Amino acid sequence: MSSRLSASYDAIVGGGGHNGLVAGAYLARAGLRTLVLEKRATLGGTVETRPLSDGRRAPGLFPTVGRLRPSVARELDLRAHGLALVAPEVRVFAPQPDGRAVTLWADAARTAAELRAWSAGDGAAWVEFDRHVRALSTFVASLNDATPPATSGGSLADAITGLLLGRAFKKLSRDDARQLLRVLPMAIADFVAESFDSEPVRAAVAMRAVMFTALGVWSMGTTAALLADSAGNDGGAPGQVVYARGGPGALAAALAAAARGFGAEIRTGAEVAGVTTVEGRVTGVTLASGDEIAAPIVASGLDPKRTLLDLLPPLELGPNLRWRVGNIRQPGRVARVNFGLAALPAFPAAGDRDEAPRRLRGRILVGATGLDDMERAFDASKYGHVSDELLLEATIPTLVDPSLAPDGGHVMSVIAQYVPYRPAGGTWDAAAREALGDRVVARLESVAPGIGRLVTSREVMTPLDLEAEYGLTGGHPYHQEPALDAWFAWRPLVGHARYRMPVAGLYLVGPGAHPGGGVTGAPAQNAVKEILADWKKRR
Amino acid sequence: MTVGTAFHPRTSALNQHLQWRAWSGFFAASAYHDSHVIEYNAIREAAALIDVSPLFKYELRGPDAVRLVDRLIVRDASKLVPGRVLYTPWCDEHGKVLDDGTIHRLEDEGAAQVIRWTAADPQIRWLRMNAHGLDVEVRDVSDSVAAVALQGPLSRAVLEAATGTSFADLGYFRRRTATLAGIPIDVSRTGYTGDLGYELWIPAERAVEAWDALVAAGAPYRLRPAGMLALDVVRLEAGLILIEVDYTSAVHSHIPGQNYSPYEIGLGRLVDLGSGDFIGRRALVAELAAGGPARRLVGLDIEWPDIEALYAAQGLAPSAPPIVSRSPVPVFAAGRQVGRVTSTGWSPILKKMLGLGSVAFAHARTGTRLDMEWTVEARRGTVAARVVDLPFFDPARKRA
Repeated sequence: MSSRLSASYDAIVGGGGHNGLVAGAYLARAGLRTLVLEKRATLGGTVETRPLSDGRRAPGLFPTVGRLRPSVARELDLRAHGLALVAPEVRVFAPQPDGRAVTLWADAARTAAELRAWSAGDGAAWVEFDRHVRALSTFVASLNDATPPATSGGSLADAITGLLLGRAFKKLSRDDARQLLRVLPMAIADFVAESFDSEPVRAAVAMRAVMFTALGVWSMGTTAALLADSAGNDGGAPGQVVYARGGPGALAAALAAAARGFGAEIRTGAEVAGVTTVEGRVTGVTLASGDEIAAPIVASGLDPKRTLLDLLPPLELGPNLRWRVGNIRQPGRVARVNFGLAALPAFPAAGDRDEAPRRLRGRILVGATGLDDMERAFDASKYGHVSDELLLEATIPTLVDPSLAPDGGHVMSVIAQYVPYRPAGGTWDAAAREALGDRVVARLESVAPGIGRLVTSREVMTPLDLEAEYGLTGGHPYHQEPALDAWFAWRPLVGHARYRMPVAGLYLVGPGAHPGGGVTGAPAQNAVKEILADWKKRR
Repeated sequence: MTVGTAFHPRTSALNQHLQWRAWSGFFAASAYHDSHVIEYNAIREAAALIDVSPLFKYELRGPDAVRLVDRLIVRDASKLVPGRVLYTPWCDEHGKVLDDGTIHRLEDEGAAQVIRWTAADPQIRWLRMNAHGLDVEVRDVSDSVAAVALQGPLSRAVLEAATGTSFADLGYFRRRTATLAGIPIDVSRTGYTGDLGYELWIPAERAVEAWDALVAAGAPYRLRPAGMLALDVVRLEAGLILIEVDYTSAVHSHIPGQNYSPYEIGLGRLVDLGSGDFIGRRALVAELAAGGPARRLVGLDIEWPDIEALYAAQGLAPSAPPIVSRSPVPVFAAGRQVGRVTSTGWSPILKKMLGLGSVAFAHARTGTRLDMEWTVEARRGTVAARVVDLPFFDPARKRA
């Protein structure tokens, strides 16, 4: 392969997903000549708005953007770059087999009042539970803001981090502080059962602790996952629901505009095929086209396995680290099914035609009927099966943003939780993919009878499709399982949690790095601080 | 549990005093005869058969087999053409030696390159860990390939008589296939004796047949089986290091001082830093840039009159221990310890007491006079030892 050195930059960002764009924007903002390279034709990665065959538009994978770190939005002035957010008053709507539903609202008092219908105790417990989750999440947010400490030879920066974390810890009330260390490793099932009696309420809250993971509600550490989901945003106990007007892709567009505004260059259709090195230092990247681009800094928004195993020359990584990276767990366990709908489907549990839309604007949970029901759905997936009790989280973004369905009707985007990456005894061929789509429709019919007849278009993406489309190794939306052994100083690997990869000049800026996955921009924002610290030292 | 090698049906009958030691889980004869010196003499004066089947053997097969070798060894693997054998150490990422052994390039099979890799310790995990992205299959063939060393000045005559073909053209560290009593074998001009010799790689299920054919062909040449004690003497004379004796594998080291770079164990001449990357290269570059390692392998010529004097001081007649001592003893310069001797033994052919040791660089120059500890009747003393070039014994026939 002939290589052509086409240009040189201060920093190259590999991957134009939302974290890559955040990194590109911050690097350019700091004055570095920055180039963002994206393999696909569109920016944003999983945070995109993609067309359905009927002309309507739907989310790529993540339907909402409410976890975006407020400082990212503020510092990059995303509103000026066209980002408009819509936050409905409802967060969660979980219809139940008996025709009733659990509804969680942004307003804790309103939620508490409704939960009394399920159990007087649950209604009474809600406000305190919400406060408790918010308090603990605040500490987790402090952890999320910090670069994890070095595992050997602590520096002054580590001492300061320790001090700040200590201060954040002290801000917790004595009771909350004592609770924090107790609850972080807990299974979410146990955590919610401490506050709530009724299974539907427990399930509706617990759902968010396992979304996008290969963890069940009885898995250890899922309480930490729930707290992380609410950390740094207004999620609280029910979790955030914030839509970007124009779909999630509008966030990517705003980030790209911000990055370009700071002077970053962004190229699509440019796949990074390798990171070039000389004597343990990054020298640039090679593209799939054969082009070589020089830069002393390469920030990878790709997942750690792809970054380290596929892009680096094998001897740079070395066999021991290669073995450790090979063991990083990325078990994709979700599928995403988008529907174009001729009309708003009727959810009997949501009330009449006036009331229903108000309850359907948040996350609609199907199958969140009890902790054991959810665990059974998880169990099946462990062995490569899709449970009959498949869990769904559906959103109908057109209820707040009709622009996604220019000719009317609605769009529904469904995350099917606990769909295995490797189905037992088979693979995700076209027939299996469509059969999964049919099962999702059937499952939706159980809470929205007649929805199947409204479907005008459908796009099913299995975990394998998510891997192929978005480059997610193993199909995992978070690049690495958000388990306790892959958290903070252990993410992506202990000894490599400070965004610097083992080759000087190579950084991880995606969710494989602390603080992990979701539409936050946080790993990239954190990483750029470290990149710039090194950059200043070098000069 | 210790088990017999593929030759055990024959070697067990020959082992007159049941003198066995364990080698990688196999019974290995320490000596077959009343004295191992008989076997030593066979190696240096006639020919000997040494069962080296307990070596770990791996087969690397695939279009990228040589690339895998190149990733791992300190030498330039481009020299490893079919028919070549390379002796080499290989290192971990810190440039510390994991093991040393011979790597044999067999004939290609279509697009597949075929390598036989021998080692003292298990390497399967290391080989496979490093094969990432390469089209090569690594198999452990330790049990399916029996190995016997045919060594000594008459070894070529024995081999030619046994196979009915000339080996005059098989150069040092070359290999080729042959037929022995109808058995397809592989012959490499290699060994651990520093003498003319060959190693024969034989399908394990036909090892006994092959042994019988060699013994029959060797009878007129006074071929004898030789055990580990004799091998230890000849390898010391040849200046060949032994893992876990003269150096510690980085796998087994407990402290930094037990890690050795190739430059510390006399193998620096093999290291090729310029012909592409290999595991440990960067660390070795850094080690050299920092002035090289602080200690070096040396050969020591130990003053016999000094030893005599220590015996005489206690009213004893001098005695040369017949076997090689593997107990490390301190070495001094001007009263301060500067290293240690790791293998010590009497060379019958050189009539000298020899040592292999590891000493501080400043004291490693040829001709340097050192003192080493020598204990007689549990009373410590010192004897003079002079640093000499290795190997101690290097007959022209080894390469001829």
